[in-house]
Amino acid sequence: MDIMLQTYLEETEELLQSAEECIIRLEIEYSPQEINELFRIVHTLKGSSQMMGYDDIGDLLHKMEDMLDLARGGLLEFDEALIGNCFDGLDTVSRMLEWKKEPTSDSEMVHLQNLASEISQRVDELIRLNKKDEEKSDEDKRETHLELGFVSSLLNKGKYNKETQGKNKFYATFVIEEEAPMISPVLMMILQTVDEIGSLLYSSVSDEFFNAQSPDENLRELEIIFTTDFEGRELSKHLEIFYVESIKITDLGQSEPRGKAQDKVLNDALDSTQILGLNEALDRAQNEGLNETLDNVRSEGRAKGQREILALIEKAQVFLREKELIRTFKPEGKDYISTLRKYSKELPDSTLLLGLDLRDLPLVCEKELRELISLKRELEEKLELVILVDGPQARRVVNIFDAIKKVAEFKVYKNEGEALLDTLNLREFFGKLGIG
Amino acid sequence: MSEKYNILIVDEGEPTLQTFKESLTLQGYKVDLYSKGQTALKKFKEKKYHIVLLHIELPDGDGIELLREMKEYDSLAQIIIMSSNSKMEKIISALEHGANDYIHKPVTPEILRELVDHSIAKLERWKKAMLHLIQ
Repeated sequence: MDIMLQTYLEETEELLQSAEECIIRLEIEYSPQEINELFRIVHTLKGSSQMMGYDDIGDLLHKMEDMLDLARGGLLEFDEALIGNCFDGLDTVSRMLEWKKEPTSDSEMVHLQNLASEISQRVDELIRLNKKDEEKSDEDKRETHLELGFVSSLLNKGKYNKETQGKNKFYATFVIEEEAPMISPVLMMILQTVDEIGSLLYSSVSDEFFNAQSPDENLRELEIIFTTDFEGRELSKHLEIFYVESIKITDLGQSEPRGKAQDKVLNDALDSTQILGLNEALDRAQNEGLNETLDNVRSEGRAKGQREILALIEKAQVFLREKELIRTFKPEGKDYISTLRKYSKELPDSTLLLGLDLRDLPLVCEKELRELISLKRELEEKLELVILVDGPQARRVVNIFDAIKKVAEFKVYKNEGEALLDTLNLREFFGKLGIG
Repeated sequence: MSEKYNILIVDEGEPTLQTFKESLTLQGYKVDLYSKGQTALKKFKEKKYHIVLLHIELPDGDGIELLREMKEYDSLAQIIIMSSNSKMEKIISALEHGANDYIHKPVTPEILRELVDHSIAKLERWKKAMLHLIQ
């Protein structure tokens, strides 16, 4: 069986499964998100079936798509008859698929095709009889469709369909070329491409942008969070889109932490509209140190939003520590720099930062400075050597390293958390999540 | 030599100083201007400032006290006092508390420039001396 057919069959089976689950949920309770989701699945199924040349499947799905489109637009009642058609239609498609995978007899296929056309006719009848009289103008129709806008429908996919979430989570910033003639299509392309390779969880551009009479053509940046099964290094080739000048990608780690139960808090925390007081939390983190802040806020039982944010920071911290992005070395004895040098050689490749903890050693003599400078240069390619110092003597250390800035620029931080936040520009990222 | 010095201006933000901030920024210095003493002190403790232009008669507080706290936190910072009220005891008090320079308002851009250049020259000399030790 060739690869394309195999992929199509696998994907279609999954989509059918999702669609079925959608309908079941809709039976229990109607929700615009679910029906939109269902519409999209059917739409996708139609598209891929037509591409494979399976017109019998494609036509049936087309009818169902029309039906669902009217339903989500409010022009058709989502009632038992409609649900029935959905179930029957999907069931027939599923059986046709089975046949394509393992053909039984010709008569079987003919039978299925008859079923398909019967269902199509039922759908036509349903629409003819029940389609609401109010002739909505084209603009009204467009508005209704946009109610659950382009971006929200993509976002809901990511949120409600946990099965489609990839195992890796990334934060990405896209910068669009100045020469791009129009912004909206480029943004849509990006979002759609991301949707193809994974699930969108957050977008800095919302439905309002696309709904506006004249979208802001000056916008040049799009920030998103998404999950995908692809690894970081594979992403750039999948995200080659016209008019995108640059893409910056930050790995947020496994979307499902290794060996731990799925963390709903983490996923909820990424809903930008639920986050409150993020900047306040970060300020405290900066002043008190991340660990203390987490303890304090947890015991104080602060507002839901803040707790979630801190859970997010904690997760980031734990993850980052697990990945050993930063390691700290505390000097002991006179010849600590050669020990430091040996230590640095043992570190795994994933380590980005080596922190020298000078909390108890605020005065660094000339010889040590010289050695530190040369060590920093030695490590340059692999690791960045940074200084960690806190407390009353901190200012002296800051002054020392400030004085030698011309020769070597050592970054000085209060603690590991700060170093990481700074290095990975996470502060900027968290800050942006906090803004509405 | 505009090797990334950080300059802090604490003043109500009169136009001369605002313009001065802009011209310094254009030359590559990092300049921050705060009109409230408490905010300025907080920021001073968060980030390393090499030079401070401090208006001693700020509306919201005691300029001398601010000077004292800043000097205590980082005595290497060069703090230039600006005064609009020329009582002698204020000036003496400031210098006693460690002010590195003093100037009477209204200030002109030329004078400000001279003062900042002077402080930078000093810092540069110190740096050179220290670097000499470790090279």
